[in-house]
Amino acid sequence: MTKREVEELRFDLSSYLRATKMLLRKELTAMTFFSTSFLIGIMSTIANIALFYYLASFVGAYATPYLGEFGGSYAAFMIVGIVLNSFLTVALTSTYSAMCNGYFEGNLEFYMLSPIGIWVYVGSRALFEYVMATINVMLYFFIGIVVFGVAFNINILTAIVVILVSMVAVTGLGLIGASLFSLIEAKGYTNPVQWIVGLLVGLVSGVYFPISILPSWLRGISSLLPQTYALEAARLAFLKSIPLSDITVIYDITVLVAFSIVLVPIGIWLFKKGLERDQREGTLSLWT
Amino acid sequence: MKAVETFDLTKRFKVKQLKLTSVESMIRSMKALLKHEGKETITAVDHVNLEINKGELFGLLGPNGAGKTTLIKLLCTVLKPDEGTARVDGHDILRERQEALTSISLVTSIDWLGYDYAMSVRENLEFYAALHGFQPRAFKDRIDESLAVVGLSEKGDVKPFTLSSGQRQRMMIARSLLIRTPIFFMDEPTVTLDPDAAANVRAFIRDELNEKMGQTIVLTTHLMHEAEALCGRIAIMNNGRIIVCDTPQNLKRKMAGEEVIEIHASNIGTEVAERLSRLDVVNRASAAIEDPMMGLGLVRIHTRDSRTVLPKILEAVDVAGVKVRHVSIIEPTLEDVFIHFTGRGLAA
Repeated sequence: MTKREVEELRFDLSSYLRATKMLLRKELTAMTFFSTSFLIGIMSTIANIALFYYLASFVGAYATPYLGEFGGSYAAFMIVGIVLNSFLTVALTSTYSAMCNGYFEGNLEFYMLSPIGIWVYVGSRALFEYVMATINVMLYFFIGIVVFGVAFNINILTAIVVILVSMVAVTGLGLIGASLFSLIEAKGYTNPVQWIVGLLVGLVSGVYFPISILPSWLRGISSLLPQTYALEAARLAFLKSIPLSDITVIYDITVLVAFSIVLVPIGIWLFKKGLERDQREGTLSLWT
Repeated sequence: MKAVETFDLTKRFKVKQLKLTSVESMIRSMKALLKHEGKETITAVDHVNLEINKGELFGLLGPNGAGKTTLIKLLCTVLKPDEGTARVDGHDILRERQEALTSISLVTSIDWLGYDYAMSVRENLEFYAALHGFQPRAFKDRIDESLAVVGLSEKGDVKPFTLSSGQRQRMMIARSLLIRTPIFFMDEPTVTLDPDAAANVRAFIRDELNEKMGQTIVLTTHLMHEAEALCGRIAIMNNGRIIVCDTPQNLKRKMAGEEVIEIHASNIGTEVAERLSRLDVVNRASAAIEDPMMGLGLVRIHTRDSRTVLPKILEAVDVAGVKVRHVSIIEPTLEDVFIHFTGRGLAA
């Protein structure tokens, strides 16, 4: 390479951003390439929102007595649960599903051949899924408020902080799950961490119903999940406009930060170890 | 400084022995697992020492499973060696991986890997350039230039799946040309192509990439004629080891004095080859099927004295009830060199 050509190759922040932009474009092009599937996806989302709303209307009267601390509306309670869980599901699954997709498409080795490839790839896939989740979330809010007249009482700052901190904490779990792609060869779109956490979140963390109705031993399990604290704080922010200075919110955020401090470094370390194992064992590619 | 140097480069893989196809095999597998006997280790690359000069078109020749692709993956740093190391463009693949990555490009044999079906050829190249930290001001011109070099200027805006296999392979080469790495690794680049497309890609590799642009090319192949036509030097690989490394001419000279008798006949096969190999002054004999529908085959007999042995061969063939169509005495080819050094054919 000539000196000029070497100067044209730089791996600074702008390189990462440019590569991320290209990967996002790639994902968007791929998503809209089969337009029928794309449209069916949008229609399914709208149908799901209507389904959840009517379900909420049906059980709302029975649920209200349990929802006093969150404002009393079951529809609003459930929308916040589903909305936050959409983001946290991306945090939990995106790295792992990116690895699985790259593996079956045969592109992981190709990304490894670029000095920034694998991290930009994994990060961009997560970013793309967050963008999609945000669109989904906006649809939920729009249809909930405009079509079904659901009322929210939001403290924006608390809501943003809670969403961001909880995403970081659950990303730690997501990275630990993604490391199992390599460490135990869980390459078939299901890993034990994702499976068990996903199962428990739906059951005990309070996505669809308040955890106060659970028996104490199940509430004990729910306290081990960052999603439980995230959902409680998010509902206080979205439904009762509770500020960041509130003691319950402070407690929930502190626990989420503690989860992040423990889980994220462990997740990154395990994920790197997993990649090293794949390089050692030659298991980054399904195709030879 | 050499383009590529390897120092006792070794790679071993553990192969799973677990079989879960029946209750019996499951129990056997579980017992083996408990005794830590569930995995067998195979050495894919075995203490390889190589030196490849800058600007050389170097061939790694060997049958499937010889370790060629593993060696290429080690040099591309996609795999980590178990022993030894290598220097690529002066960078140690273990200690200076990031620097080594900026010096290499890989063209694989599978022409659908590493590109996105939904993006155009041009967008795929832009994506690759972005992944390699290429500054945007240089994007457009370099992409046009690369597409022109591989003869795909008109195809920039089409989707890759509308291209032929040969064109996709050239698209992959264009991608590698974008960042002008000094070293190209090409893993069986023509294996999926039809004869015409393969000939075009070969001509492009030799005339444009190597001779005009001066790129160092390390090419793996199991096709003798490809190695002979393209490569200045060839390393023959078998069972993970480099058996011999030299120019095609010198490799053939190593067999000086040896002749090859070729017998094309019907009803001829390994049984006859085995019988012939027992004759005096026959070094070895091998059989290959030429036309299974017509029952036609070929037996190649290596000898140092074809005049003496030919009558005996014809007599033995006649006794075996073989109907001979054509007999010729030829100079040894690279395949014969391979058989000479490894004791088996490349098709094995």
